[in-house]
Amino acid sequence: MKKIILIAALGVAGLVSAKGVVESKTVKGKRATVAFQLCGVTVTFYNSMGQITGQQMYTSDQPNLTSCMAYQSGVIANLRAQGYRVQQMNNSAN
Amino acid sequence: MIKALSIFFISICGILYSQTNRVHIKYLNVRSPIANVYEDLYTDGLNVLSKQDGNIMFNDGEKSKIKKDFYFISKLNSLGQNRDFFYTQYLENVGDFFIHDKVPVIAWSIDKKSTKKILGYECIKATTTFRGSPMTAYFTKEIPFSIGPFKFYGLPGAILDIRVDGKNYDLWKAIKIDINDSTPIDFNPQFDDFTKIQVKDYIQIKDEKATSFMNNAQVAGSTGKVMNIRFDVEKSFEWEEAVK
Repeated sequence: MKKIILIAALGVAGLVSAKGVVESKTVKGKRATVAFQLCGVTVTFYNSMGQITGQQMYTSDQPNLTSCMAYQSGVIANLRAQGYRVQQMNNSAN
Repeated sequence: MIKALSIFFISICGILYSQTNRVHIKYLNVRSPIANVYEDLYTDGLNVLSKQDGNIMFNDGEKSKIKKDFYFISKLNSLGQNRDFFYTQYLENVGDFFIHDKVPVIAWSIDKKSTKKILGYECIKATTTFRGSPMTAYFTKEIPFSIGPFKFYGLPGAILDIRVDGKNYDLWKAIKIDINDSTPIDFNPQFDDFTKIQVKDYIQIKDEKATSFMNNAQVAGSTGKVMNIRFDVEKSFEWEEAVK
């Protein structure tokens, strides 16, 4: 009888132990999502005689419209600082 | 037969006209979205000289740093013939060029029903594609010379207005006409210091220069892609068409 009780006790202990392994901790991580979109600006170049010398499109990934517009202005300012006579395309002629 | 007679009539008119008159037509040339220039066209009935003024009128009021007059020199010839042009150009950091260009016959389509008055002259509409650019012109038979600004010719009268279709620049419009001009004009100016070159070679140099210029125009943090390097009226040339 004692032998049977001992075997039953060991069985219950085994199940308890097994259940403990199954309940492993799961940690839910937070994922931050930032969407970047391609932002571009087409620039027309002029020489010192007012003739168009070329056109180039500059692109960069930007997170939102405000950043994109700032980038576009920055490209123009950067090129002018380098000494180029440039104008953003679609600016109407005066 | 009618065509031959009309050519003969225009030639006779031109010769008679030229014996007493020298024509001066002043154009406003909208060169680009930011700049305008004046172009003065003169003919004595035999020679033609057109000069684009080096004083560029920038829309922002800035004055020209480099003043280069551009000359376009040719002789009147019969309708239906190629015309030889000699013209000057300047490439920054390269130099001045005196260029020979045999401009092929321009295939005009004349719409006699479309007319308008320009500076008091009755003008007729004509359209063509000039070296890759669709163009609309108005010419008058009242000035019986086959002349126009830049390299435009081939109509039975003087072109008083011509423009590339769909653009608000690359256009020339007459703003003053004097059919009895007395300005002393040298129809055969010399450009001894200029590099003499054929137009095909000049265009090659110009394209290479433009490509190099554009490739150097980079902005940190950006990807640049050159869209185009030919923004003149002349976008394609006959020798390029032949290769295709």
